[in-house]
Amino acid sequence: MREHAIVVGSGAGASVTAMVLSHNGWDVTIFEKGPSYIEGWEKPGPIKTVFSNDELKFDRNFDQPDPISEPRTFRNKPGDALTVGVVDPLASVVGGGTTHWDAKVPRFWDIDFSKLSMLGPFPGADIEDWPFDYAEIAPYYERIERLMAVQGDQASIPHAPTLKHAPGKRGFVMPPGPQQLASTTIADGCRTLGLHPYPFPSAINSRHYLGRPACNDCGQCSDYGCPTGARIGALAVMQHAVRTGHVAIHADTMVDKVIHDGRRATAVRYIDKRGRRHTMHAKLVVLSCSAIETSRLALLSHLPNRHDRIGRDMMFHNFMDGFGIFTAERMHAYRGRSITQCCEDFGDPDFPGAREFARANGIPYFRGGIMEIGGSEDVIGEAQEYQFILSALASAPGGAVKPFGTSFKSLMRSSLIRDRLAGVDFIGEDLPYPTNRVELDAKVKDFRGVPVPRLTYSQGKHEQVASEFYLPLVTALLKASGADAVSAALPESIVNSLTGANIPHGAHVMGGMRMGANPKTSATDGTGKVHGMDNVFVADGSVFPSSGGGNPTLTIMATALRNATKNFGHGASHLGRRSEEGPS
Amino acid sequence: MEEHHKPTRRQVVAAAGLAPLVSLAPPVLRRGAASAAEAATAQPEFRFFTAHEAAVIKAAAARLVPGPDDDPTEKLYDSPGATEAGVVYYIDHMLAAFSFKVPKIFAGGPWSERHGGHQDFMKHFVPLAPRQRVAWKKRIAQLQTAYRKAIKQLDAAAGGDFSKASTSTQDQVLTNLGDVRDLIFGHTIEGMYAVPEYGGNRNGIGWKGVFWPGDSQPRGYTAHEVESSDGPDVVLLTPTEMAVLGDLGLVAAARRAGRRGLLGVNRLERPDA
Repeated sequence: MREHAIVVGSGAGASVTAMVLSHNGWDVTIFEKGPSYIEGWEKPGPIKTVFSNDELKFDRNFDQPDPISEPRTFRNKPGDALTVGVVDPLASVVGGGTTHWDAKVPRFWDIDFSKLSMLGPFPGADIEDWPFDYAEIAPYYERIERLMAVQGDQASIPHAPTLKHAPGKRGFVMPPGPQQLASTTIADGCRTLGLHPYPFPSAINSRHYLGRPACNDCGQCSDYGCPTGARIGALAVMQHAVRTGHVAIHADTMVDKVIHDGRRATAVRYIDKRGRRHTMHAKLVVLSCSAIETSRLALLSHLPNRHDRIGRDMMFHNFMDGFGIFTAERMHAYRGRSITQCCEDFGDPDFPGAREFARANGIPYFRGGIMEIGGSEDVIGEAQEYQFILSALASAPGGAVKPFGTSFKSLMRSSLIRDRLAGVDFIGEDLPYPTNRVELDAKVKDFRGVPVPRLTYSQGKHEQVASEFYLPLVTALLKASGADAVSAALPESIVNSLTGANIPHGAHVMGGMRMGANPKTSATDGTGKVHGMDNVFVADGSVFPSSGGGNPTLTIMATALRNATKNFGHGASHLGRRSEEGPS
Repeated sequence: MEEHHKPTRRQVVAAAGLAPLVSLAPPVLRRGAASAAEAATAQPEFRFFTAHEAAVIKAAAARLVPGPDDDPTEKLYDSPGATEAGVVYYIDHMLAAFSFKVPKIFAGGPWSERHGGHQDFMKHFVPLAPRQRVAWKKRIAQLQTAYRKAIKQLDAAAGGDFSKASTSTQDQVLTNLGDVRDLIFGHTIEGMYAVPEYGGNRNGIGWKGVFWPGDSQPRGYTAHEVESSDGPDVVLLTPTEMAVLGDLGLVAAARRAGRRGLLGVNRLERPDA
């Protein structure tokens, strides 16, 4: 007799957990708040989808919560006016955030998992070690890489800094696809400065695999759903769950409460497509809604929170934009997989000069993280930015530029900030500060009548000093790449004066239900089980005790696999091999 | 209004996929091609705007994103603008989105027939999920009100009928009325550069000359196209380009604003508490 488990969410953490549960004797029901836009992913072969190269559709929140019906609220610190609206949403559809990512899957480093041991404390931040170290999670990384059929080149991964901090064989299943001109151009600049760029490991088919096509580099990758099935994200793992015949997925259905009696959850309450509330019983509940929403659901459910840890230590990465503009050549970054090279040197706390700069600023250390190199943007976004820029130029004192008309069209033709742009997305570590937290908003509710999450978040000194140190280096590497005009992001204070509250926007959302042995400093135990509960688990980025310096999804999935294997059995150990070998 | 509804030569030429050839052809051939297709093209009615409202929005959009008949520089480049792209139809269809059997909010997929697809899946719009229906009903209602108000403001500032005012008056009004300009400019941009299935960017004409090929599936790009340079292409630095290059901080700010949802379709729903 199989027992019944409920998994809330259908993305990265949910897919892995559902796979392990269904292979270990559980019947699994998955509730996904959003709709389903891909068919046919349940088995090898072609998919059908309504995803497409349509920038407007994704601007219109096709796959994300709409800020009218499902806003969030935000403030930089208590007492500030609240912003209501878009607060770093992730795709909420079947497949979760991995439907609209560009599938970059670097590993975290040894110093991320053993942060307190290897780097020491940081004033004001909750620095701790993870419940496991790099050596323990490495085999889970490799298995997820195989399940996701990651493209990459082991031989090109630099010893320093990458293999030094994240050693071992990657589970790459296929070689890197074509390298974008904009990415290789910036990579050349990186090498000039002695940095170590390499092809970005990505969960995108570079060749036909398991009945799905090689990516044809259509260019509309990051923030878009994939039209071809060359990139299906966590659904590549979820298929192993549904093929057991013991997993049911309910789309357009939101769980708003985990019903519990003392230490045991007995059921969840959910709201169906028509707005009606129901309950469903379960022996086990897993929250995999992504960090902000899982914290929200835990608070809505009044899960035990004696030490006020739920929702704390939220992390979003310290994003900075570098702009390299090429006035004599077009970089056509609209072709390809939204960046194909990365560079991790700035994640090293011992990067030349970094320790001295930290000391000079009165802090023990700081880190940047991975850089995604060679990115640009799409045409509607470009045009909107010109609208913004022209308006600002025209209203500046002595502004002689007409804010529309031929000045706008001229910018579209020259395309300085899109077709001539090769950018750098700098992803720096964001430390866990207990004051950065998710709570329930006291007034604002979503269209179902459920209180929305309120985020309070400011960067700390670690992030400010890291930005100050690395901005000139980003500028230097862009110059070394041959860009004629170069800029990195302005200091936050200036940007904020132009764009309002400093709301995170990078779609890397971590913390809130951090793992740890001590319930006074964590919300879940060393395997993601909620402190004070016997049968409620968390499997998403909310369990991270630190943010690392790179794209989090691979680590979300590897952590979920490690925790689910520990909690629910070992029956999933063969799955990576089966995927690698392909259909029989 | 009739002449406004006729497709221009450029639109017809683009529709036939002949743009590069026809520019070399003698004028008589171009006229011939145009009239044949004009006869075959029936113009849609406006679904939301009155004739006057449409004329005002059309005139404003033509000042914001001018075409060859609106600005001598654009004539020089033979560069299509809002009129040629049919932006007013895009805005009209957006404001009347719920008058379509499936609301005209999210075009379908996985691709159109523009780059090797055998049929245009994009023209079949995707039914709305409950969360989307709630949001878009409200957004469209807000936008309808905002447009009616904006048109009144434009008319008043232009001394009666914005659409009949001189272009210099129209420019002055649009310069002064920043909020009205932002509203219409934002949607004019969408109507220029979004996929044509939304009712604007007629025949993909908005993408011409801006080095954006539009949707590329199912063809995509070859490895050579991804990896190699297209060769030297030196930018023409007008005072506008100089101003942007001289203040790249604004580029960073604009990018941030875009990523935070402060640009584009979200601008109406940020009621700061």
